[in-house]
Amino acid sequence: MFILFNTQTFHWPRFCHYARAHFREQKRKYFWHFAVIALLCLLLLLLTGTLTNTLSENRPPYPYFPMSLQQTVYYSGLLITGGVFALRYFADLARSESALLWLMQPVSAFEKWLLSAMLTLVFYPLVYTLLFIILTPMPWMWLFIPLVQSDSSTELKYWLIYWGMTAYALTTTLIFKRHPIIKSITLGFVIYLLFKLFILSSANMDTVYFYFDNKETTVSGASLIKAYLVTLSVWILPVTLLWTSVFYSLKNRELS
Amino acid sequence: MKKTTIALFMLPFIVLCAGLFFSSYTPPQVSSKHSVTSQDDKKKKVQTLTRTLSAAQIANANHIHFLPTSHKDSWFSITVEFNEQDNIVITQKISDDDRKQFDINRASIDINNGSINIQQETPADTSHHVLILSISLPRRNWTIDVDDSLGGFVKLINAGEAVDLTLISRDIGKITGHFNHLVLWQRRDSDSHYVSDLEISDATIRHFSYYSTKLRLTLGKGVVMDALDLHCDKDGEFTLEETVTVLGANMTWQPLTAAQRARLLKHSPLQPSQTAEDKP
Repeated sequence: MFILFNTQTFHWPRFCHYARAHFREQKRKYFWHFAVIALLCLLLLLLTGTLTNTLSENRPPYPYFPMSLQQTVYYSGLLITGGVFALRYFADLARSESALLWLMQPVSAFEKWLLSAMLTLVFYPLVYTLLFIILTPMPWMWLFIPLVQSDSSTELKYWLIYWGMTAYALTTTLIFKRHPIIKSITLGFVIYLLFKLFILSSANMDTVYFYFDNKETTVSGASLIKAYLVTLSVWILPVTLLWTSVFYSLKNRELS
Repeated sequence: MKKTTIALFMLPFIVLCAGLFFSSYTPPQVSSKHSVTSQDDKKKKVQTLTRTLSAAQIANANHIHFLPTSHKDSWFSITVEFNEQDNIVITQKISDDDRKQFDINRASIDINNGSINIQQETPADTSHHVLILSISLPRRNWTIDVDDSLGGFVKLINAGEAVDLTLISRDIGKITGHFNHLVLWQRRDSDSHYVSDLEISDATIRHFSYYSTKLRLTLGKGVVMDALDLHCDKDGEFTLEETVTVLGANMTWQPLTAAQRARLLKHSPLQPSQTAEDKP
């Protein structure tokens, strides 16, 4: 098992060393990123609490922040700030001097890809969730905690969107060499518009959201297989392919 | 830039397009293994969904959810296996964009040969609601968590049994300190009237806060309760608006014994196999 972790593609001690070096180099960037998120979160909570308290007839003596609103804030925040985090991850490659330094790092493309995946898919959501829980002034029983609510299958779609979106952000920042963030956002907007105008209008959204909304309905037989095929091709495959695309873009960037 | 990189980048979107196109040819259908009958009239759509669970399914599951076959279903009943040792608690969760338009006209329990049959009726014009019935199984702490006060809850309550309730408002801005007591209503008629409130010999508010209210009440009458609603009685005057404000109820209790259940059935105003629909 240990031998598997010590090939030319992946060498465990080298990867650990690379991860430590990455954190040492980027800790200031990450600190400010999370500090800004914390500040925004606090402002939003105060604003929401004050507004809803003012609008509510029988207002309680603390911010009024129901669980549904917490969920909306949590996932919209995760998607927006996570997208920014992913867009900035390879931003250094846009500058030729830092790009050269980054490309010369003595690690394989796979290790670079793995670290980027671990940071965007595991590290970032964990820290973001922790910040959200700490900053939300609610007792634990009214506190929204992702994926532990009873309807966690519906939450899964937000996570798949997050995984897909971060992979898109990483890929595009690797593909575009100049002004990658602006180009990535513009392309994303164009793709969204094209989908909205030509594709989504003809799609059957009940089938698209079948797995998340109607998991235990009485659909069976051929319809069930078709519904799962749609789930696979709309949700699972694009996300997997986008993450594969991140790896190949990274490899291609190293060679070019 | 390599062509393969661009092709790989475009591939997920092509797959996504294909999936979305394919979805338009795959409308979900109702399974043939469930008996589903429906009839329409001007006022309401009636649908009956029967699903029988095996003993293994009951033993292994903590919560079993039933969803209506479409969001526009207004009626359905569910039959669940119910043996001597097991006790079943049924909860329902309703979400609707417009709560004021949404109400449950009828909820009844039919106990017959060890099975429970629940029927639920909602107005046909509410097109957005999703109704979930979940069954919590015995010998565990039963926690009923209802996100909507209109959902209420169902429990087989023995005569004179003390019930501890913890009401939790998820929408805390609305459950503020004015209500002085809570009323349990029993509703069984088809016109959404709350026919009779149960005799509550003792209803003590044990703890009150903005977040939750705990109370212990003892029921004076031995009945098989229909769907119960917890209603706030604000300053002694009942208003429907206030009933919408209690958005959740958490209950924990022990399962009934066989003897308790037998006594309970004896006291039941509903005869076996008789539903509220059959009542005059």
